[in-house]
Parts: sequence; structure tokens; C-alpha cells
Amino acid sequence: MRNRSLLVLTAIAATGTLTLTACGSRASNSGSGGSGSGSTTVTIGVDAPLTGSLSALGIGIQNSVDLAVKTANKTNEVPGVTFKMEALDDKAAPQQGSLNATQLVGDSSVIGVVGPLNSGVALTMQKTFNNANLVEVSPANTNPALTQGPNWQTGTKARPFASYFRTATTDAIQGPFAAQFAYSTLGKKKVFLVDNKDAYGVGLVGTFKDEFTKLGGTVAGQDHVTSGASDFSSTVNAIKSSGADFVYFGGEYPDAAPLTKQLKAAGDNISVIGGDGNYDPTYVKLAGTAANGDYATSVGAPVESLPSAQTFVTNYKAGGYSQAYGAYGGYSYDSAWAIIEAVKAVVSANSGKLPSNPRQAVEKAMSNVNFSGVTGTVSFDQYGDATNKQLTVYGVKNGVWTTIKTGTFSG
Amino acid sequence: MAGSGPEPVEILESRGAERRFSTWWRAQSTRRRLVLALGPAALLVLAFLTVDLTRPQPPAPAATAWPAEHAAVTYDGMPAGDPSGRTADFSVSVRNQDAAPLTVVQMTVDYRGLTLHTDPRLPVAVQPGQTVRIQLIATAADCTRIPMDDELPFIDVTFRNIRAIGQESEILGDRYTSDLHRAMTAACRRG
Repeated sequence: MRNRSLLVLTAIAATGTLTLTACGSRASNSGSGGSGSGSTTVTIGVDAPLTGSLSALGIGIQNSVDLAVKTANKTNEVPGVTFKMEALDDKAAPQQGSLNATQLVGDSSVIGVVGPLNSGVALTMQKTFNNANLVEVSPANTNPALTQGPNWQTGTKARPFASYFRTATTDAIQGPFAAQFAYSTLGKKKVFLVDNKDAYGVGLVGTFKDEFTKLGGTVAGQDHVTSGASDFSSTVNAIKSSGADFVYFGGEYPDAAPLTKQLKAAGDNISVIGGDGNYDPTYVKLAGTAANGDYATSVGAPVESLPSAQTFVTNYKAGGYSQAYGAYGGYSYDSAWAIIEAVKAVVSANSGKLPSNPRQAVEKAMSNVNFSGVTGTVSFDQYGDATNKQLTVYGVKNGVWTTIKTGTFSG
Repeated sequence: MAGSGPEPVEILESRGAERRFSTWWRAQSTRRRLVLALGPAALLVLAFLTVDLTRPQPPAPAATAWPAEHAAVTYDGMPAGDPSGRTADFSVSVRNQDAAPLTVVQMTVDYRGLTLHTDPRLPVAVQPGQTVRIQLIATAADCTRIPMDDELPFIDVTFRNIRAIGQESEILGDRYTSDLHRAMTAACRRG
């Protein structure tokens, strides 16, 4: 018995030693990423709605930037520089966005900002950032005027602010793509247009309407809703009496979901089609079964389908974030990483240190940023728009958003 | 030194140990002998597996992407020459940026008044890194149902690779849009 015990103990000891050796070698390999113990700390600001009805999208943006910052520190992406994140809640309100822009500009450690979500908020922030040469990269703004100026639709494109960039594609593509889908693919000919009176909603409906009528479609009626309202009965009545085949909605899901619910409850079982502001699981949650048969376009290809996004998806899950990365997660990560790449270029060109005017240098470096990101190749054109222009049509089937088709702009 | 062998003490000790072990071994039951014989081997296998399973694994080979994700479609223009009848030709290039072969299965347009054929006929295989040029031959079947001033016409392309079959809308840009409108206007005038 004593002999057997001795044998077993020896084997266990040997096994334990070998196991510890194996664990040790794994830890050594994974721990080679560096600790981010740089001598200079810079901040990447985030501006997004972190509370309120759009917080699901805003928190996805915040978490994705957080992941980018942590990854950059772990891999010692810019030797000598440690990144940190500071997130401010704009509550989806332009006034708050303006205050946040001032606060971020006032913090000298802020080297760049990711955000905002809403185009209407961006309009109030751009000038403040631009005056301070503070780079702003939005993962979600789609209003074309932000990069191409107010007269973009007449062919007079002029970049208003050199510090503004975005990774999302614009409504100059989103609206017409939705119109082509509705008219040519779904065969719908009569639309009722609804917007929420803000820059994003009005702009999106405008680009949709323009293409839809050029295709031969007709506008059966048009109405505007107040964001945050709960009773859409007058709009529902107008839609019903118009005889429209479908509704095109410019706005976000907190308004679109009750609208479709009230419309279907009133017996008008026509599709509501919207833009990226509608594309969120909360839309289905709020509208219930009334959401079935509705559509939304959103920026980019589905992140889950991109081979370039697999690491992001895995790391996001491993990061333990309680909220989903949402429609803009991949673009938010890429927005933050674009800033990190610009900082890297600036530091590399300045003997491994940040220059005395880092914001100006980063702004200048942004135009040459080019890397393989979560959403594909990330770079910017002369207006600050993403060169990678993709968008996808999603439809609600059995209470779940499902991919219908992706479009890629190669022109 | 001739005739000297291994030190006798060591030999004796060894033989004595062998004798003691064989005596002890014979005293064990068959079942116990089996356990004693196979136990260390099992533990060694366990130790090996432990080492092997905890060793850092090389990254898994990248899964082949959905076909459309690694296909780049670009508009090349209209070939030289005078179009005739109600047709017009447009040229596109399909580049396979994946490491796996790709097949262009189908190309269509959603306009009800327009039919589309290709040269070469589809399906067409595109090898990794290869670019294939495809001629789109558009025929105006019903001019009243062809939009002549829309801004974002696209073609739907169905791709297939070893992973899946999938469709993508290819928005070919301003040059394609203006060529399409000009060509279809002329074709409808001719017809």
C-alpha cells in the first residue's frame, strides 16, 4: 500500500510540474503584449447618448472605444504613450453636445474624440472642435452636410471642418439605396413620408424622396412627428387615408417603434422602412409583433459576417460588457483606432515623443490613416468621409432583425 | 588492470534488489499487478495530455469569408463601338481578394423594363487574386419602366465560395449611372 501511494504521489508531482510548466509558458506568451506603461497619457474622448432612449446605441459606442483603448495599451501600440478614455453623455441633445465639446477641448490631455451618434448633435460640436484642432471621428453620423457642406445636393461640395471625420457612410447613399430597395426590389410605388424634424431625420427623408420619385414612385403624403411623443394617432390617420403602400421614416427607433405599433393596431398593416436610426433590437422590443415586415437600412455590412471583425466580436464578449456593441460598435472601434493610428504616426515622426502641438499634428495625420480595421479598410477621402462605403438592408422576421442584402459603393 | 570488471558491489546490490522486487511482485494479486503496471502509464498519458492541452495553440486558420466580402466589383466603362438596337454594353471587373476560389453565379438589375445578359455567360470562376472582366449586355425591354435619372442604380451580384452563396448589391458609382442613363435613353430612341 505504501509503495502504491509513493508511486501515485510521484506521478501526481510529475504531472503537476509539467502542468505548471505548460501554464507558465502560456502566461509568458500572452503576457508579451506590454502593459501600456507609457510615460505620456493621452485621452480619447467619447460623446454619445449614455442615458435616455438612445442609450443602447450610445453605450455600445462607449464600450467599443473602451475596448480599442485597452487593446492599444495591451499591445503597446504606441510605445511611450498610454491611452485612456473619457466618455461624456450628450443625452442626444445638441445643447449638451455643445457643452461636452467645450469640456473636451478644455482638457489638454484629450487628443481626439469619438462621436457623436446624432448628426444634429454633431452640427453643434464641429466648430468648437475645429477651433481647437481637435479631431472628431463619428461612427454614426450620416448627414452628408457634415463633411460636404450645406450645398452638397446641388453638386457644390465643400468640406466645412478639417477636424471632422467619420467612419459611417452617409445618407447620400443610404436614402437612395433604401428607395431603390423599396421601389425596385419590393415593388412599392406609393410612400408616406414621416420625419422627426431633426437634421438626421429630415435629411434622410429628403434623400429617400428624391430617389424614390426619380424612380417613378409617388408620395402619397408627408408628416412630421415630435421626438419623444407617445401619441401618433394623427399621423396614423393621415397614413391610413393616404392609401400609401408603405411608410418611410426618418428618425430613431424610440419614435419609429410606437408609430409602427399604432399603425398596425389601427388596421393598416403596411411596412415601415427606416434608416440606421431604426436598426436596433429595441425597435422590435418596443413594437412587438407589429415590427414584423418592417425594414431598416444601416451603415456597413453585418459585423458578424466580416472576417475582419471576428477578433473584435470575440474580445468584446471577453470584455464582459453588459450591453451589446450595437449597430455602431465596429465603426466606433475603428474610429478610436484611427485616432490611435494618427497618434502613432505623429509620435513616430517626432523621435518617439508627442510633439508640442499634438492636436494639430494628429489632425494632419488623420488624412493619411490607412489600416485594416473591424469593418474593412479604414481611410478617409478629401472630405473626411470613409472610403469604405457599405450599407445593409435588414428586415424584421419573427421578431428578429435579419439581413436582407448588403450594398457596396465602389464608384 | 587486465581482467578487472565492473565493481562487484554494485552488481550484487543490483541483483539483490531484483531478487527482492521479484519476490514482492510475485506476492501481489493479479489485479494489483495490473494496476501497478498500467497506473504509471496512465498517469504519463494524463501528464502528456495536460501538457498538450495547455500548450498555446497556433491560431486557427482563418475561415473563408462570405463570398461577397472578398469580391471587389468595379465599373470599367462602356466598350468602344456603336451600340445597335435596344442594347448597350457595360464592362465590369470582378476581383477575388480571398485565398479561396470564388464563382460569380448571377448578375441582375431590379429595373422591370431592363433585361441583362453577360459575356461570358455565368457562372464564371475567379481564382484567388485573379480579376475577371465581364461584359453586361443590357436590353431595354420596356422603356416606360426604365428610370432615366435615378442617382444610385446598382447591379445585384450573386457569389459563391466553399462557405456559402450570397448576394451583394454593387453600387458602381456616378460614371456607371451616367453611362446607363445615356445608353438607355439612346437605346429607347433607336427602338
